[in-house]
Amino acid sequence: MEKDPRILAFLCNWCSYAGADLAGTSRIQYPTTLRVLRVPCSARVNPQFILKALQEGADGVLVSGCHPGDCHYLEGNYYAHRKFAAMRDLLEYVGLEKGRVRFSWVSAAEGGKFAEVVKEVTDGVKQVKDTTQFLKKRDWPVE
Amino acid sequence: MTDAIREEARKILSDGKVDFVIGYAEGDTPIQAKPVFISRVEDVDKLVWPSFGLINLANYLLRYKTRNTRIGIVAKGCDTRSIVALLKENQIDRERLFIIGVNCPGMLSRQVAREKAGEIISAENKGETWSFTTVEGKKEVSCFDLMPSNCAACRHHAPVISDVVVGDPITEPEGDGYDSVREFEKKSAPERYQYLMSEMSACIRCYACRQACPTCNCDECFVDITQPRWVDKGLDKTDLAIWQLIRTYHQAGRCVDCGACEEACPKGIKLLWLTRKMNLIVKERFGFEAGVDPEALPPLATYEKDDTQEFIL
Repeated sequence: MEKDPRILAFLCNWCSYAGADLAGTSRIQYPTTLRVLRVPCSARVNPQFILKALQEGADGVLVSGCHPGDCHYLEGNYYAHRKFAAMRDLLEYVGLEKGRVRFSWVSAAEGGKFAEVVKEVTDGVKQVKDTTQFLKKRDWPVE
Repeated sequence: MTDAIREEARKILSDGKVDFVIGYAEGDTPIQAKPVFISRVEDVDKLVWPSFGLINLANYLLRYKTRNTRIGIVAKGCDTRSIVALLKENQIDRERLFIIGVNCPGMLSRQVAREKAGEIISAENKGETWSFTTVEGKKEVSCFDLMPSNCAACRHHAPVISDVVVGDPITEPEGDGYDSVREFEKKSAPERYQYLMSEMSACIRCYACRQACPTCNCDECFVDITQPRWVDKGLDKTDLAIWQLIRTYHQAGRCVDCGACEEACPKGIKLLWLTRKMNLIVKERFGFEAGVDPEALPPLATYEKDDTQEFIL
């Protein structure tokens, strides 16, 4: 795709959001494609949110949480992982292009990794041929 | 089979073990059975073992969730698996149930009959074949060709839990029954997306699939919630697809592939094409099959520390 992609990122409050913050305070450069939505835990992200985001015009969706074992709520990300695994496989089955829905674990100390993840996700979304899959066409401008 | 079911129903009703028995009765047309609730012994002869019985009777148990009735139920293999799934979610009490399990050889589908024969006016059983009078004329279809995809893919013909079992045991066919899913996966991604959109564009949002399903039993379905409105009303094709995708997702680890949703669909949409994939995902990723093991925890309500995380960055 030619224009800069718009990626909706669900970042968990305790790790990934702090990781993004660290990337900022460490002055690490990364693409400006992300629109961040802070959630209490990656398990807060209902797979419905992902589909809704695609429908409302997100070119990509990133969900990021704490590393396994590091969850602030002890086991939230384990449950989240199972939910995403099921939804991801289903979306792949119905032909959603690869690279539009991504998941990552980023800890609060991994500012560098956060920047890497954003770069990788952005590159992935840029290679997507058809970002109109699941996009709801409306009669009025979405901007 | 019909006689054996009647016999068992008569026994439990006259012994006072149950207040009523849920079973199948002759439908208004020969190609559709209907559920029947028998509370008097003299009505037991209304019960039949149907040819076209793709209704999941476990669905009707939910209506007696809060009432203190003792229920007898005629249950096929898949129905018993649904009952297990409902027990697991504390929707019903095992003590109030008397399950007449049936070794089910497979049902026939009205939906398939329509596909094969066209608009059916009348139908008649001639042993191994069914003779349909359609708008275009007469047509004979063999029973084997009328079997729906879920019965062909069934590997759990025998009841999982039951108080009595009727019918002869059935040898399970070879393979795991997911060949149709693997076949579809060979198509390219745009083709699969195209298929999703073309199938779902027929949907009229009547929610018959949801109503027919015993495990679709939320007090308020996500699609009915208006604040926030997750799925818009109306017939936008992305809304239709997302409605069905989320319904499928909510069936993870609960769908028993009974085919009631697909049979109920007035537009003949291939819904099992999605739910069967969900079953395969749950089986391959989490090693879980819905309703087979009464002790196992639902897959999304538990986790393993060593779940494969290959897709996570």
